[in-house]
Amino acid sequence: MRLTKYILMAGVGMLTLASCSKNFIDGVKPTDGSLSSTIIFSSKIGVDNALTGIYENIRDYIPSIGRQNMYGWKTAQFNFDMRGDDLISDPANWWLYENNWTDNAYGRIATSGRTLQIWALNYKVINNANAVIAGVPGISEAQSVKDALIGEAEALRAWAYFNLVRVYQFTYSKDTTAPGVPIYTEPSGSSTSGNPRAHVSAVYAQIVSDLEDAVSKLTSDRVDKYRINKAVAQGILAQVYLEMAPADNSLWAKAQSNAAAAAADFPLMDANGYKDGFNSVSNGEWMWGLQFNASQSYSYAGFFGYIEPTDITGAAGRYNDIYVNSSFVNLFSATDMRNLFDDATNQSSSSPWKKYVTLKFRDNATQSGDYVMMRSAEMYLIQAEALAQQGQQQPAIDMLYSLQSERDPNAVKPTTTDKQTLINLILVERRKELYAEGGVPYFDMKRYQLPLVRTGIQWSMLNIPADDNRWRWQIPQPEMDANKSLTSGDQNPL
Amino acid sequence: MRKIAFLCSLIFLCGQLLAQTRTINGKVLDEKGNPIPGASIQIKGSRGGTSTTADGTFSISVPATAKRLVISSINFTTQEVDISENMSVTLKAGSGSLDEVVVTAYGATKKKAFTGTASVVNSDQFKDLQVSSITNVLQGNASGVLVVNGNGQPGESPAIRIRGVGSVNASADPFIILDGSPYGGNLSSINPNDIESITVLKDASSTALYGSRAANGILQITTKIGKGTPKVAVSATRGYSKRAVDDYKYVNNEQLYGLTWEALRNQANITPGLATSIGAASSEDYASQSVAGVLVYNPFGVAQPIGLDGKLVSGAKSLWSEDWGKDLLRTGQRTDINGSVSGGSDKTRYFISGGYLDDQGLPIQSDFKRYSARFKVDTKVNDWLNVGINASGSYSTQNYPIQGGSAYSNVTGWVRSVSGIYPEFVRDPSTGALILDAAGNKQYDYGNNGPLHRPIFTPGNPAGTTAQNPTTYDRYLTSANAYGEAQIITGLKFRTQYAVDLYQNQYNSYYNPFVGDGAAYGGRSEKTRTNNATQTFTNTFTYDNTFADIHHFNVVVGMEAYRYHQGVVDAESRGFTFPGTTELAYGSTPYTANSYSYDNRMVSYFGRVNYDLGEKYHLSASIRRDGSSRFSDSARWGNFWSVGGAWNINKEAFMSGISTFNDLKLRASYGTTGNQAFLDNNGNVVYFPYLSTYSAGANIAGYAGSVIANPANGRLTWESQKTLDLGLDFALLKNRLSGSFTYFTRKSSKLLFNRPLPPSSGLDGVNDNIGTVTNKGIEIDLTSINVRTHDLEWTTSVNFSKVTNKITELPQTSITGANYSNLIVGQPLNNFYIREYAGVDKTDGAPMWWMDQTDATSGKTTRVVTKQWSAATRYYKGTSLPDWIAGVTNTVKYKGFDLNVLLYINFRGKIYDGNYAGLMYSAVGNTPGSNWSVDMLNRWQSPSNPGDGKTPRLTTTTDDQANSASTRFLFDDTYMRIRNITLGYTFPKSIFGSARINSARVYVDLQNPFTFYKYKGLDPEEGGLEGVTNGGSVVYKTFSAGLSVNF
Repeated sequence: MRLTKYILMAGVGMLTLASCSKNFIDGVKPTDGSLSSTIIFSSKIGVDNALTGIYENIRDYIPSIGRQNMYGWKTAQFNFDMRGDDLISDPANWWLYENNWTDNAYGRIATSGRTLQIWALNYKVINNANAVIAGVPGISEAQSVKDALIGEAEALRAWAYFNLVRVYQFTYSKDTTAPGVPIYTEPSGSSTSGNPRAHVSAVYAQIVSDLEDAVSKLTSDRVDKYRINKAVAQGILAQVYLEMAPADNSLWAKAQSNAAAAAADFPLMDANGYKDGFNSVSNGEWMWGLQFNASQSYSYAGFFGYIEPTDITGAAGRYNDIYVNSSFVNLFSATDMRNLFDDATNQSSSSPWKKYVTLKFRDNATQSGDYVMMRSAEMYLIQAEALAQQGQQQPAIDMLYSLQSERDPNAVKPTTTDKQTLINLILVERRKELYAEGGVPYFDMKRYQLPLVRTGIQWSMLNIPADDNRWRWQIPQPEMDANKSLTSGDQNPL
Repeated sequence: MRKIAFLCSLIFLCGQLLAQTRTINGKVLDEKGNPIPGASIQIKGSRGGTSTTADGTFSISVPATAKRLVISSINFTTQEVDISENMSVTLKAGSGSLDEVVVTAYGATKKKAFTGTASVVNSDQFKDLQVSSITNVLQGNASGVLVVNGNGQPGESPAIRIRGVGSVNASADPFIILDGSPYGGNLSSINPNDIESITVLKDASSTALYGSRAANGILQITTKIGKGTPKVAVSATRGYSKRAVDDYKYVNNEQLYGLTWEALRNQANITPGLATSIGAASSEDYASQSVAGVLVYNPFGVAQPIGLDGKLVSGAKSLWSEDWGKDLLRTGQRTDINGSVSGGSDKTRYFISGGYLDDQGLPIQSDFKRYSARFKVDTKVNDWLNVGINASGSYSTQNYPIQGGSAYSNVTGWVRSVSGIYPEFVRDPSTGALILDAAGNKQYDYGNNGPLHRPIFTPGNPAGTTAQNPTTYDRYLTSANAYGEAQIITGLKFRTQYAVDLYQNQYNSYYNPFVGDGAAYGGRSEKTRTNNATQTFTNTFTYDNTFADIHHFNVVVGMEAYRYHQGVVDAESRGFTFPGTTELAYGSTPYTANSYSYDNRMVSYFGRVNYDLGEKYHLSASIRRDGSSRFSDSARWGNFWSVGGAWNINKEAFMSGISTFNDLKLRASYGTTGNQAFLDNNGNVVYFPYLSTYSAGANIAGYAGSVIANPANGRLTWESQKTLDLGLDFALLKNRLSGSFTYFTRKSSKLLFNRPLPPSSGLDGVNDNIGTVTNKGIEIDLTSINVRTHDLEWTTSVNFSKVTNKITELPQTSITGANYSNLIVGQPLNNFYIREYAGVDKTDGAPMWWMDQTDATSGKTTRVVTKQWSAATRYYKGTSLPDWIAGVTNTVKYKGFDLNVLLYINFRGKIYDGNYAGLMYSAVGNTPGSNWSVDMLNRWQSPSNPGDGKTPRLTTTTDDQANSASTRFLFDDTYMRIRNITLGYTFPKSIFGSARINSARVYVDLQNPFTFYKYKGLDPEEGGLEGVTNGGSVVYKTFSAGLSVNF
């Protein structure tokens, strides 16, 4: 039985593998593409990596309950464009619910995917920016390098709060003490239980302080156009002051000066540039744009997949489902280079609203066209509006005409002496210049507390008063459920 | 090579051993002199054995040294007899079902000593079932096991929940043990013909020894092994399949046009100016002018087929009407061929098998083919050492056209979505004639061949694209499980076992460059290669001894190390030129390349003591300590334990006078188990759920980026579960009636859960241990031998399970769950938190829902109706989980005939029929030309013609939101399904004369032949466990015939 004794000993030996079990279990680490925050905050390269991730989140984020037309901020912006008067969706295709302001998964109600997309995308920007702001002081780089990284994160954070406060409450000037959105300036963790809705004024104070600091810390340097530099931060600040100025007229001047400084290095594009399809950051007028390469494209699920009408056979996976209101088309003169409207050749006479499509946006060959986020034409219009509001009628007209004449060789210089008439002209010019770029007509209506009154022939003829609750989006239900500082009374009314 | 040589030498060895034998013939009879078929004949002191044929005879080769045989059969007392020529053995009815053996963790026990609860499904019960995945046999055959076949695709496995759903964000699937080791492959890679039995272990005393992975029960799968005389078995089966329930009934072309006309007319009445905008004189005129333009395809050959009365104009008739169900679905064919050689001597047992299966699904191109082989042998090397190996290889290829979801290429969804006015092939709209291409071939119509596009699913046509766009899963499985067992001293054994499963899953998807989903990319091809290596090394000491004749101890002590590695490589290329060239080499543009891997390791120590006193009192206690790499250093070890007891009352002296009871046993157990399989939102396992991470890959063009993915939680630890089990087993009236009653409670706490953080935190949630879910229920198993005569035997088995599921603790008031559910204390999982439909307003035809309205002054809440869907209140309207389920099996044997009928009943539970919601849309502008159910003909048309009161008016805008989720589409899921009817005939041995055939059996089998369910078109299982349908495939009914021959 000597042999069995050995077997017994061997068996006991195996059982005493206990001592090795720690090494055995500890022998594995994540290899699935995840990184620890210590690696991120070890160098400028790591922080650049984290900042790039924030832009990717802006470009791509979709919530778990999101739908196909909810990839990235561009689709959230387009959702606002579809709520205006100028664009009409095919009632049988994507964007019909946005176009019809339907209170469902695509709408402003608490359970919708769209409101969660808007809310969560911006708060992810904020949290990631907070982590950069908290982590950068610990890296060993020159102070100027650290300043630029922090300034960029502050600008991103302000940009996100500005998006949120404009969607979830009426405009600043309507009521600065109305509940805005929760404010976070520290990175969240597992014990974060949620902050209460801060007053609109507090949210704007945070935005302005971040942007002013960002403008002071940033320079014009950047690795590529997807990153926010000083000019872009000034551009955002100009937008913010424009929103606030009706409540504090001293801010028109700040809107004007920031817009002027922002646009300085970005001359207006020529007619050819306008016809290139709005798909490349190489356009000199673009101040900020999010790039794609071929493998990052979402093809037909991306912005161009909906708005580009060139794919008549449908073979390239386009939906051909966005039409242009003929009353809007009629605002463009024949010689206006922005008059890129085409007959909707593939549509039938039975749908009278299917008359025009727009060729403004066309994807590039690999279906990976860049997304425009800011361009200097808007800065011209902000200056014109701010000048007009300050009573500088002629400089305002000159500024407006400097853009109009660039777009239309036969443009006629406005001659009005009435302030309101001029402002209305500028608002129309904003629609003509910026449609489908960022929900400008929608936010202009909110900004000036105007109703939506649909015109022309549309399948969805809406009339929404300026004080209607539908202008305020509901806070997503998951926020109401999980945020310990919110009760049902904090929700925006249905 | 060395392995092959070793296997060859073992086979050679078997031949040597068999040569030294003699053959004994005999017969086994019951007390009335009737033959007992299927009785087991074992050679005492060896492993050799055989069983009796249908006429009760047997023939066995016994070693020259063998002295006695052990004869046993279910429901008879086991006997030991001396070997003699032409023996005749009479067995006494007696000792009942409790003599059966139950396979438990790290061992086996007799049912009478078993303190836990298990259901055993033997190969006898499923040998004729036409299943391609082994777990498909469980529905209706095992109590406490909910099996939902949410998918008809061959090669897919059903969802299984044992005793309710005990986990939310963690896997609730049972733990699968194959021949004593965790199984690391895909269930469809196992050939069901190789399986001897499946044991479902349910209570803590039977599962706690697998501790941390056993919280949701265990399926112990045992493969076959040979015994007795060498036996060659060959079987072949051929089958044909179609849908188990008929599809929904759809409107015809004329009805589709008429309904669309009505929607346009109604909208023109609602929207002022609409009619005049196209110069129409009236709303009716607007509709007549518009309808063909809205539907685009006009099969009537006249420009305005619908008149001002909404009816087909005279002279117009349908030139074509496409039956997409016929174009895209077919009769599936199934071929299953198996062969095996098995046998054993007193030293060596072996089983060698090979199988081929070709199982076609109903959707065109859907297919599952499997080639499998298994070799299992064990041998007694000398008086103290046993060794064995079980090796198998399997290759399967599954062509899996998309069946579910909203993709244009979803074959099953297409049939339910695209109406018959849209043809499969391009047709001349004026004559209906097919337009052929230059070569004279029919051309598929993708909806974009004219200037006007088909308004639905354009460009697409699965009849044309499915064959050109293969989606395949190729699965390779190589398994080996080897052991050695040494007897150290009397009663003490040491066993070491090493098991490895190497499993590769190759996912290939190809979209051709010419038409359909791939055209946008110039064609695309994606390849995903997933390699899994699962290794388990187990060492146990077992001590088994009886002291003073009545104190029996069985003690197991052991350790186990588990190591799992999964590596994934994924690549895609685009820009293809030629049809059928699916390899990436043919693509012009490499698109993505990605790889990642996952690891999990565990170390475990365990021990169990079983003690019984005179076969009257049984006690069992076990403990296991598990450490896992899934949790942080400080939280990774968990202890799991159980105690159980059983009392065989009928062995007591006071029962000796009571002859009614053959068996009577009370049992109770209590214990804990755990779960570590944290799942993310997509149902994928999270391997390091406690770490704080940034996630790479958030790139902008060529700039690399990463975003915050997960906050850290170092305290994250095992999900834990406490199970109480109380049961009574009995056999009465000479074992004619036997069964068991069991009551259980399962309390799952510290649930692995991605605890939601407020989205304003910028985080989705934190992986945490939160909340509690309880499952309480009863299980009843009854078997009755209704008739037993010389020629006729009729047996009925019933199993019944009732489980009540409830959430009992949460960290916040409610958490939005998957589908329509909302997690809240007091409600079950998989609940429907949904708006309640209030029918149609008879005055204007608008849909209505219920809404709670609280009076501001009195604070009293009343229910009122609203026409604004978003304003309607959501209510809890039940769960997809059934109240109770039952299976009833009737088996009749008459002479050579055998008949088996299995009935399955699912009582209550809800199903949300998304398919039907799509077929009942009221907003024509939203989906013109989409198929309608014939129920749409009962819509509201006017106050004087209000229809069925449920189906609202037709319009073209979505303002009514009539199809938004509500109880309008939520149905009761009570149904009854005949799972199986098998009729077989075993030929008497006499007819084979001198042919070397031992037995032959022919049979026909009807699977799912009848379904009794109230709602037509809906398959009650299509919704899966979640109870939500979404254009998916359904269960098949299969007719098959087969022949099996033993040599």
